[in-house]
Amino acid sequence: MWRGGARWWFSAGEVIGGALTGLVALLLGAVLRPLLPRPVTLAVVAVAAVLLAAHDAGRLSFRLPQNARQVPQLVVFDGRSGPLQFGVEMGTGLRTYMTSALPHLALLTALLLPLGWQALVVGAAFGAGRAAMALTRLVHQPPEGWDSTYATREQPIRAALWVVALAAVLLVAVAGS
Amino acid sequence: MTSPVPLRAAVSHPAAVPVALLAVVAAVATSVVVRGAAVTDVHVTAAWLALGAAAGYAVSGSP
Repeated sequence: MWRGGARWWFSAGEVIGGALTGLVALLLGAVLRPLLPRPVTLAVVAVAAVLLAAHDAGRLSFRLPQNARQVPQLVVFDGRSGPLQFGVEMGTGLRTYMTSALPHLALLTALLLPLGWQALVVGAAFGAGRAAMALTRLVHQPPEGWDSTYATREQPIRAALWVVALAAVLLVAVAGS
Repeated sequence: MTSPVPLRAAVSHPAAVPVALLAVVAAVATSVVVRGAAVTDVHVTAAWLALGAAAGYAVSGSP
């Protein structure tokens, strides 16, 4: 439940949290990439993309690394620091379950393929993507109707997101070659 | 005068963000593949933005 401008502080927190994860990916990637030849990193990302897409499509079943904790069903947001802090936690992608394997592909790509600061871009965009879902739901009239509309169109929406992600990974891979 | 309600309904539709991201990658692909433009920082940054946003949007569970 949102009060006042809490939604905007939460959204800003998600972008900051995503950028923090991107920063970690940037630093870890700077250590990893020199150790791995370019063909190896490309092969790892390609294989991971296939496996993770198959996982999300229900064709393969395996456990993905994630924080298997749930957030409360109802959270009342007020003020600034609370929503900002919770937004940062959610934006890192480490606070709760991942309902898709797409963040794993994004993180792996950010680790192995970026040219420096681009890991920050993908991290901040992850937080913005999370915030977009919350904000579009709030703008929807009534907000509860958003959930039923999403539920009826979940499969094509998820498929479209995978098309976007795979096309983006392909372009990033080609650009760095 | 056009009512703001259809615009609000369009931008708040659950498919609005995925469609916008598809448009971004389609624009980049058209520029690079169809028109044969050299891959620039703008193309690559757009791809990174689309990848991150798609990953974030795919993770439901907003409060």
